Amino acid sequence: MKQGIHALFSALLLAAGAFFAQPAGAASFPSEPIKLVVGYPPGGSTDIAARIIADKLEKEIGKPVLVDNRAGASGIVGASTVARATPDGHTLLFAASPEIALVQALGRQINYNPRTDFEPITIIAQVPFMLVIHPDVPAKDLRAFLDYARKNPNKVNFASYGLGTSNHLIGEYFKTHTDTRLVHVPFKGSAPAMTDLLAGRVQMAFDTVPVVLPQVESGKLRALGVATKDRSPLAPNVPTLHEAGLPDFVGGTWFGLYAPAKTPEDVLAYLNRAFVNALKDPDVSQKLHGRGIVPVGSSPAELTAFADSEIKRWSEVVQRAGIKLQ
Amino acid sequence: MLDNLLFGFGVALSWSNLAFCFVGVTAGTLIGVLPGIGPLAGVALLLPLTYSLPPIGAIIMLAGMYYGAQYGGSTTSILLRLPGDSSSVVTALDGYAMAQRGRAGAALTIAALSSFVAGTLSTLLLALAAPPLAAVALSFGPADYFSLVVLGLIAAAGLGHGSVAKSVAMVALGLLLGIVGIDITTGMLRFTLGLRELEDGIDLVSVAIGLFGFSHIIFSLEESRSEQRAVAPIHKLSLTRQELRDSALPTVRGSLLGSLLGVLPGGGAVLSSFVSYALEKRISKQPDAFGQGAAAGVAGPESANNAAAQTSFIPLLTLGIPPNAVIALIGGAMVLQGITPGPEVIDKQPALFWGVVASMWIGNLMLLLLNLPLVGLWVQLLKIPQTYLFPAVILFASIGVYSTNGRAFDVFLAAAFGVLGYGLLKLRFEPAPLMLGFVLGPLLEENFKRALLLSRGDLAVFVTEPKSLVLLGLATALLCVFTLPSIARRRHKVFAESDN
Repeated sequence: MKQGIHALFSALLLAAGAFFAQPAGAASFPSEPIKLVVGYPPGGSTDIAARIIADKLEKEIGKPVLVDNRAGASGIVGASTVARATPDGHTLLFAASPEIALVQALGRQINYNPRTDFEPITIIAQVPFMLVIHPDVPAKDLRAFLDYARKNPNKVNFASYGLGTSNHLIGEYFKTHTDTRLVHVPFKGSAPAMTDLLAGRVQMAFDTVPVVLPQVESGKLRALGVATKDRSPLAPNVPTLHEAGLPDFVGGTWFGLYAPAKTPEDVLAYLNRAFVNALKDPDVSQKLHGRGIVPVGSSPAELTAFADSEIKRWSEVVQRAGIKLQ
Repeated sequence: MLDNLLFGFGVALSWSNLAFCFVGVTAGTLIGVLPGIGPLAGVALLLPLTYSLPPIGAIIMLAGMYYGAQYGGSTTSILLRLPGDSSSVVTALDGYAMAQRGRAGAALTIAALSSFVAGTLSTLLLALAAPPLAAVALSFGPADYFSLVVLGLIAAAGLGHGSVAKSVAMVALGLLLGIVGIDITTGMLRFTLGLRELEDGIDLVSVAIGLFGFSHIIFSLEESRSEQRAVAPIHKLSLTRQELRDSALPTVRGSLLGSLLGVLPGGGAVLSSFVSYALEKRISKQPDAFGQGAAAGVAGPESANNAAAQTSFIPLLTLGIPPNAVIALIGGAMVLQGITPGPEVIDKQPALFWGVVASMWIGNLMLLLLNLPLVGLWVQLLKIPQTYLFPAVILFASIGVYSTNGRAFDVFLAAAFGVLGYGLLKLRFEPAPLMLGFVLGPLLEENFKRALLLSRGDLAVFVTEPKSLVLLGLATALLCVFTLPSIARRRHKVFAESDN
């Protein structure tokens, strides 16, 4: 509690200092609290990441940074709020991949255009997936698992967070990529999927590293690989899927920061600097890594290029797998 | 086991941890008392404060807030027929009826005492049998869930009015409202009327506040205009011996029921309070008293929801799986503290596990000591004239509804349900079966589809799984009880519930 009060006082002092130090004119951004809109309910990984970064940013820029949860319709509600917000840099979208890339790939009806209604600021982080199976499946590694799955078509079930979600799409990508026939079993989010995976009713899933790691360490699940270029620092013994025999198989969700279209250039540049700096902070980095979130911090152009590549890639997966929403 | 528990008390009884526990339960009580602001919003608000705390203290505080909210939630249910959160919806039925008979103090005391007993029993259960209980939760497959929900729905007829047709209609309406939104299996949008806000379904809090709270305010206003209704005189706050006797066994049954259902993902506390009420009404010697202020109708559900809140920590601490959103948030807090919830918590973090378990009992004791003196204060609320009370209640409830998702839409939705609830009251339909249908509908559908997906379309799975077969058998037996004419005549007596 004492520490909390200290933090509060130092935040107040910082705020006061920043107030007096503030030069007049256009450079006076931010002139009011910054609102980070998160399209998901409190407690999810997008929300937690936003809060960790907001906490640091607040101290850097001397204005309150508030996380505003506008949950609904896999992030669409939050994104459309920001698309219509005043483009002065005080309302930002702390986006996850669904409302930017997956909505387009799935061809969902949305009242904003992810490419033209937002100004990119920076890639915040990547959230890689780990491929796990139930230990009753007679396979010690990826090759053995693929052999087993090919010999037993339509026998292996794979769990997802729901139809059209990030880990459903990566599962479908895995199917077409490895030419296996697996049965998709959707759940409402990660926790119920994990329950049936631990019980062995479904045999395979992609999920984030912190969710599956304790189960892998206690032998209740078997890790076949992480879907990243490099091994996860949380699980240095688990190979990448590339190493395990699936060349260049990467995938997961990601967070990006966007402002409404027509936000002034200097404000965007200021925000890019502030967020990239916050992401470099060792404390922030450590907290994010602990949740399996890998901080990035990129240029706006890199975010655009990355988002475009994601839209293209998942559109292909959706088409090949024949997924239809609505 | 005893050594472990003593070790846990050693951890929990340090001054700082006692302080964290106290802050948690006090904040929880306040959040529970504010209508509509449930533990989810509360824990989310408190979460950032825990970043700088020591891990054990942080978890003790958040846990305290969660079960503390279960205590507080019953207060407005009893006094104003306004559920503080979804798990105290059932308490509104008989708790409010007791308050109208001038027994508000007694109802609040029963709620506090039965919650305390439930907290004690479920803490003991948590200490003795956490791993085996977790195994039970894991062994519950989709087919078993489906059958459990079927049983729950059939039992729901017992929540309603004398008319079976009306009860069934309400359950059916609830089921339909429950499937509004996107279907996770097919991605189809159902009954969303083109509204983005409805894609994730209708929020439970909006339904509960609207159907129970707002509708009742409209109803009361009409009533007080036609006949000046005197506020029921508040008799002595203490319990009569009869009330104490009526509450004892329901509390024990409710605690056990809540402890078991709390472990299962999904339904948890809400389901357990409904089931406990239905059970108490069924086995009561005076079923007519239910709905008119039966002490058992408060004691059972209140102990069930508190026990469920506590045992819902079992899946998190032993499997690493959060059974509901609040627990998921607390799991998130553990991760931020560098502790990964999972099968290794008991072995690797014994101080955390046993400390938190022991703190739960201490927290429950604090809640009892905190709540009993407050009973007198809360009861004074009833003396506030309706002209001031109702606008204030509507304001706070609206803030609560808004805070769940941060959307004004949910407030409008609650208003709409208020109007619907008023219509239903006028037509003598009971809102309780609707509520249960609403909670269980999505579970029913989801697990039915999933069971068939896993069995590759073979319907036999519902009778070849032993647990599912037993549950379906019970459901069938219950259905027979309802439909057999000779017993049906008695049913009128068993299930008749007065309108207010």
